[in-house]
Amino acid sequence: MTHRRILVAGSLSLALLAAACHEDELFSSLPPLYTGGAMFQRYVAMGNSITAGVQSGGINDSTQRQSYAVLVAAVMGGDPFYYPSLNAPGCPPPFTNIFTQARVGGAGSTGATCLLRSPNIPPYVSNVAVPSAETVDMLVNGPPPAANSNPLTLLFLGGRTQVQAMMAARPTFVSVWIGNNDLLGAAQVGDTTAATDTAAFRVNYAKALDSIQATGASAVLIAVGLGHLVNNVALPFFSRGTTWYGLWAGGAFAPAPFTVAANCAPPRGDTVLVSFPYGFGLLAAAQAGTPTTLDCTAPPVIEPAETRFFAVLQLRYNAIIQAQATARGWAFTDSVNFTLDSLAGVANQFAPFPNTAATCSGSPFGLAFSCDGIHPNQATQQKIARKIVRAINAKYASAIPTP
Amino acid sequence: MRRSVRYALCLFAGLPALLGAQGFGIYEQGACSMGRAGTGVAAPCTDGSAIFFNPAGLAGLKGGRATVGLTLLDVEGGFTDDIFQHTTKLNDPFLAIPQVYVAYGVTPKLGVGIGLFAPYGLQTRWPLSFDGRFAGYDNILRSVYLQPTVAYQVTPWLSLGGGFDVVFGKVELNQRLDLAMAPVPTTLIPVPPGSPPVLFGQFGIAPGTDFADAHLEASKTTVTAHWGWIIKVNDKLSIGGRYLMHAKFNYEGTAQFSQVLTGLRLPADIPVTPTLTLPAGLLIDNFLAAPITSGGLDLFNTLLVTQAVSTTITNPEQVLLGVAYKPRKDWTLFGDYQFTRWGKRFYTLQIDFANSLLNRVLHERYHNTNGFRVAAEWEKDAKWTLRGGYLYHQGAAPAETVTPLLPEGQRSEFTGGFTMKLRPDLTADVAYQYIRQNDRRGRTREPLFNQAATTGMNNGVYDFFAHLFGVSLGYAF
Repeated sequence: MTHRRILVAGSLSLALLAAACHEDELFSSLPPLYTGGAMFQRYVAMGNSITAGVQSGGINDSTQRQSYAVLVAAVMGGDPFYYPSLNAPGCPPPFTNIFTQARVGGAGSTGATCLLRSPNIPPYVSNVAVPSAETVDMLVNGPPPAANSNPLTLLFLGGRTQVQAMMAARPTFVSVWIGNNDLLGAAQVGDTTAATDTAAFRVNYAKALDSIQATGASAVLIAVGLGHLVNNVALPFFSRGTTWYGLWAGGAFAPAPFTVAANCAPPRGDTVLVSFPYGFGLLAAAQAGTPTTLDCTAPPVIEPAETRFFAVLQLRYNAIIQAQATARGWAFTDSVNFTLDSLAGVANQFAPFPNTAATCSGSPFGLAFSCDGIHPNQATQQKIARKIVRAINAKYASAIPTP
Repeated sequence: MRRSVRYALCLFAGLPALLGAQGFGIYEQGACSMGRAGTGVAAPCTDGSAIFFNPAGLAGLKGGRATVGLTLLDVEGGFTDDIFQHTTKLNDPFLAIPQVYVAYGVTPKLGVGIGLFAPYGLQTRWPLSFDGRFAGYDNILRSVYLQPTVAYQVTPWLSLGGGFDVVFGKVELNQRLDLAMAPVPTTLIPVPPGSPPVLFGQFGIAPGTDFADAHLEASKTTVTAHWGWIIKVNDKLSIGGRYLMHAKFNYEGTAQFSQVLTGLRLPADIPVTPTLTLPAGLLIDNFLAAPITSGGLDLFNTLLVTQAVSTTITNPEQVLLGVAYKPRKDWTLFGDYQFTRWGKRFYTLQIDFANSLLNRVLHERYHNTNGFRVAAEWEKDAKWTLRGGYLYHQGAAPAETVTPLLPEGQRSEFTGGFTMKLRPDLTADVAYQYIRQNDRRGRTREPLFNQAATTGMNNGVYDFFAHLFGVSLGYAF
């Protein structure tokens, strides 16, 4: 064997030895295996309290895990879906009895109780939704009137906006369900001027979508509402003037010095909405001995013209959202509203008047809602997740398993 | 002489990154030996580098040798994280390591010399966008050995040599501090005894929010020793060994901190305690820096002030055994084995600050390592000598300690080179070395509260390779 052959043989042996050495590899999650799964590798949810997981006037890790966003992420099967987990009993803790104001955590828990986040800090946040957020809050932080930030804005986003937190997560797919508070905030105080006008809604919404588009992600845009107001479906948080009037006329509130004015009677009272805090505030005062009257023309009450205003506003918001989805080639769904419309026609799902004898486990606002009359309970969150997944699959020809 | 030593030390100031030996060891101490894959314990190169490769090799030297060399390094590598699959490249510049050896045969049996070399050192420089910046983004560990050496041929078949080393050590660590992982002072939010403090991250601050820059720098000079032996079994076969003692540095230096602005504002009024509500719009930077009397934490005038820092780092001992065999007059084959005692010397690294709240313990848990080198050399004629080699060594860092400070692992390295006699008294050496480190899983962060790390913290893969070019000029006198 010549020197050259020895050298060549030696070099080859060494190269083979080197190639045989073990190499460590990245631990990257595989794309979901179902049809179209790659689009859903990393999912981020933007929105408000419904998306964040508020139930019964509070939020903690337990309610956060029941959010439709967590359920959708679970069936998408992509990268870990990190929500900003709040320590128990919550911030604030959910009610256990809304009529006595008892909350999870016992006597020490109040509406001001606020536990911090879990010390297990995730590398990014997937559920960037913040309770009370309106469309403007996707873009800016701050106190009213410029924005609607609250302590949860800090706890969930750490001084960033929803858009910034969404972009930091580098999503492949985003859901956006926001706008409810642009309308609900005004409805709660019975003031149409407090609602976000459609021009501002369009601008804020489009800016947020531009940021999503800049990441390269696809999206599903979810229509505003939990039922169509135009179909005379209202949250159980609101009771109709007619209902109040009928109960009063039947002596349900006696012997408290509480009166329901005749302007709450049918037919006018059928489209008058009385919010839970306003109506029950008056009733509580009367039960404490102060004579009170529910007047269905008082400012906090939503009168028929205002009801029509909010119904039309909801349609306009949703038309804007649908147009944005169409322009960007993204999914849009109004199916959650239709589902709630259907549920409203099913007995016991929407309580027309809160059951004051029930604790929260007894669903005083109906079987579809948690113990605040606004936020869906676990079962309804599950239905919402199912509708959203079906809408995504229909638009993108994907096969995300149905939750 | 003193001026030249000082100049040489200055040349060593920009020391290299992650070179061709275990842990933070460096073995590229001369172009001739580099071409031989670092072998030569049994038969060192005649350029004076025996001062490092085996002090006994100076015995029998005829006349004098002065060698000046330079190794150029092109280091490439990076880290790819599991989550975002983003690769961050090392920011190491093109580096040059000088070597200086002067040796003289006083008698046919007695040789003396002095050498300046750096068998341990590292520099890892990462961009500030790298998540590992919170462990360290520009880290330098420098140990320059100045070794006067004496060697003597005890018998025609046995040579002994040794020297003592004055070792100039310097350590420098630059890192960012992440607000998300910073504890909230317990004076502000008390916690039950034994419980960990609340983290700013629990207020929602996102990981990767830089709020301070820390610069730690310390230096120390120490002494150690180095000796070796060579047995010439016959005209064809030699065996040799050397032992470089450990060098312990009780570093004392200074830690400096500066604020890095987060630009974050509180989005709403935040009730922190029953008596303290921070107002909406407050810059978090102001809260961190403002005096306590103004409702701030005054971090940069209390905790994060310039202060003394100390640590102890020990360069481990090296034990080498080698054999050199001449199957033909013009061919020599070399084989070396190296043991480095990292396990005892680099297990935990305690960094003590004047303010003990900042004290850190890094659980390095290095393993002892074994390295194997083989090479062949062909004296083509009186003018040219060609050589090549291969070396393999284990990684010193265990799987849980592959960090931005030193993301090392087992390596395969290939070398080649030649010597060209320019004149009877002038010799040039040129060498090339390719270092390929196996990709290795590692982490970018240190554990909180000085806990020991586990492989569960590993969050990506480090890759590394390098091209080294060595050149030296030897003068015989």
